[in-house]
Amino acid sequence: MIAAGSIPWLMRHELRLALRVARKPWRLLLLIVVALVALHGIAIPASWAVIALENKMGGKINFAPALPLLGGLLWFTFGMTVMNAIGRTLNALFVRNDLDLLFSSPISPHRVLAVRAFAIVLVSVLPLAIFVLPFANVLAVVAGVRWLSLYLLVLCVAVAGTVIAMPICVGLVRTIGVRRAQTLGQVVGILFGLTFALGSQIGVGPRGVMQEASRRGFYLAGDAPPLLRWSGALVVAEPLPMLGCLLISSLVLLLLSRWFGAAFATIAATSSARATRIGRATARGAIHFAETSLPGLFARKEWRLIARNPALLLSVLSAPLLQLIPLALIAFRNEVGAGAQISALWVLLVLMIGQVAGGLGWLAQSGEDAPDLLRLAPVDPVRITRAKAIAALVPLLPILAVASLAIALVEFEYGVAIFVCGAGAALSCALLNVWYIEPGDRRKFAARRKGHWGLAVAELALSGLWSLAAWKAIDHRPWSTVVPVVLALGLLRMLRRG
Amino acid sequence: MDRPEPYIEPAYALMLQQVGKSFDGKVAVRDLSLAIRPGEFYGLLGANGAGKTTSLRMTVGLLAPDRGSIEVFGIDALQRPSDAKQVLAWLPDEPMLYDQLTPLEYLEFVAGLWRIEAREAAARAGELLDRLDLWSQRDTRCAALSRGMKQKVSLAGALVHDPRLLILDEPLTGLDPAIQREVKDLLLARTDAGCTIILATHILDVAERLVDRIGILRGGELVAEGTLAELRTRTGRDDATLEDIFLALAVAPADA
Repeated sequence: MIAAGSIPWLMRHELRLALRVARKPWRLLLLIVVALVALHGIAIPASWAVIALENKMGGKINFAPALPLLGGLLWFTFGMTVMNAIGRTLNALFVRNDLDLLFSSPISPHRVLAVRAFAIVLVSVLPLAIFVLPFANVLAVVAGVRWLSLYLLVLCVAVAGTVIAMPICVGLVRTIGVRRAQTLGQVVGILFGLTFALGSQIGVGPRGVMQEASRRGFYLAGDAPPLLRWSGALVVAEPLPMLGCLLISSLVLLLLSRWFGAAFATIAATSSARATRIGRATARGAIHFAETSLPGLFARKEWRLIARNPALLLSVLSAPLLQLIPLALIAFRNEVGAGAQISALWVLLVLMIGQVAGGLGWLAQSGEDAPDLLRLAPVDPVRITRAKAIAALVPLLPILAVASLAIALVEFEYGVAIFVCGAGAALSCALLNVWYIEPGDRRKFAARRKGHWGLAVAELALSGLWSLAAWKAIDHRPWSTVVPVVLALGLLRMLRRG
Repeated sequence: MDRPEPYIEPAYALMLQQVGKSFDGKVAVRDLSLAIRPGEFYGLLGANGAGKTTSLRMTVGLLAPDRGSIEVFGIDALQRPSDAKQVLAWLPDEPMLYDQLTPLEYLEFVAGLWRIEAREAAARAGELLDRLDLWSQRDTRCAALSRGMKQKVSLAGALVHDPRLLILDEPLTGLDPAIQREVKDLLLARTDAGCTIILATHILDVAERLVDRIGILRGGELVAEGTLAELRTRTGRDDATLEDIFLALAVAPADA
């Protein structure tokens, strides 16, 4: 029996609230278990590769050449964790609005905040832990117990991420308010991670080095920035220094919540009221809707709604960006076709634009805020759906055209392939959202495909096939280009509805 | 030279004949027939779950009836929904707003949906915002407005295209007395200008003061219809209030 008001009791309360985010907590737990089992399965062949490398290196792996890559991954992960922790901190301190209740109770505010800070750590650590710890477990069994130090690394990243996130969060709320802080926090995290992940590739030898490196087991040539080597060394560090890092960061977090407890309480109390305050749209920013074509009417409406809710646009962009990171790490140093001048990274633009078109298409079609209003309008619903699809695509195609033109000026075929395949991907994903309108709350964009996983897979498959077609076209392989195009069109035909 | 045919005002603004709707085998509306004249202020009363909202949603084209016919100013609303929607407006109890648009932008957007020319739309929007005391909030996003203000913006959206038939579902719920008064005055002004209004409400006092005729629904069926005096006669009490009539007719003995 846990004593009411004790630290474990408060922690249980925090974790219960975190779990209640899911409508069916048992399903979330089941999903975590399934993911853990699956990742343990994937970790087994990965551990064999480590052993093979160890044998090849005469019993001891020299991590030195791979340190920049590991360092880049660590900073990217750290950025994502900071982003996650900023979101959790904002929610726990400013959005949830339960601090008045807790602070009006006889429990010490310091205790409440300290528990809440460590609850943020536990919740923020979860995604990282699910992905990393299965590898640590399998490697510990197969290659040696020292790999269990990854547990400490994961905890260290989460605690340090929260230490950074809490003051950032309070500072942001003080200056720009809760709503904008939520958006900016995400941007900061993504930029932080992206900069370090892609930055880790700069100065790592000439383009094409990754192709060579992958043949040699990811051993990179060239000089990388010392910070990346040092960070990479942390990933493969011995447990003892890692434990030291963890203890120090935990102590800082504890002191932070203790020393600034009263300040947090005051800020949280004043800012929670401000959280509901919505900014005025200036008269200058006001738009005029009438006297325009139907697509124009909807383009104005959709883009004004998106522009006034930057978090939404960020959600649309961040998911494809994050999916592309692992591919971008490889593509950045690789080349396709004649390729001496342009990296393969641009092929990913096709994938990105397809995914973004899908997201925007969903917002316009399924995420409609006032569906009844539109159904009441004396306009054919088919025309409205078409107008919305055009509205979603209108800004994407010029962006694609400009990027393609810039590429075409360097390598003509490359630019043409990117434009044609990018447009194909965008149109395909937009069509998918026209055929399958599943009404949903646009504020829950991230969960839009919940229960509709088939559509998510179809969107990804269509974007992927068009990207593959672009890659093969640039590589001057006409037959290999035709196959993914035919597959994409076949998939579209199969999915066509209405 | 062909001369344009003179416009003949249809005898009824709204005509429902034998309209029925079921959900999963449960009857929500059973053989509902209504005939509402142009310019009439009609009150639709009924207990919770009596079928008021379902009937109104079918009338405005948001729900397809299982059977029956619906005519709006002589237009077959089931065959020619766009033409019927052109002349009607619907105000639900939950405002149909975009949180991130300002009231002015929202009204101009709604006007755009009804293909109203820009200058005309801006003028109407301004007039309605002024009339509903929302002008000072014209550049505030709807998300920041109070419940009452949102409802007023929603009402303005229903009126911006100058509908001939206005259908309101609990428009006064949750509004303070001052805003209720504003809304009532606006509605009466509309009927004076020839607009037909159908009002579904639980606020019997409002219905008693505003409406010309009352229809009472129970279990998806129209159990009584007429003026207040006619309904009093039916209950056999000349001094009966609408509340007495409602309790006698709309609430089944077992529910009372």
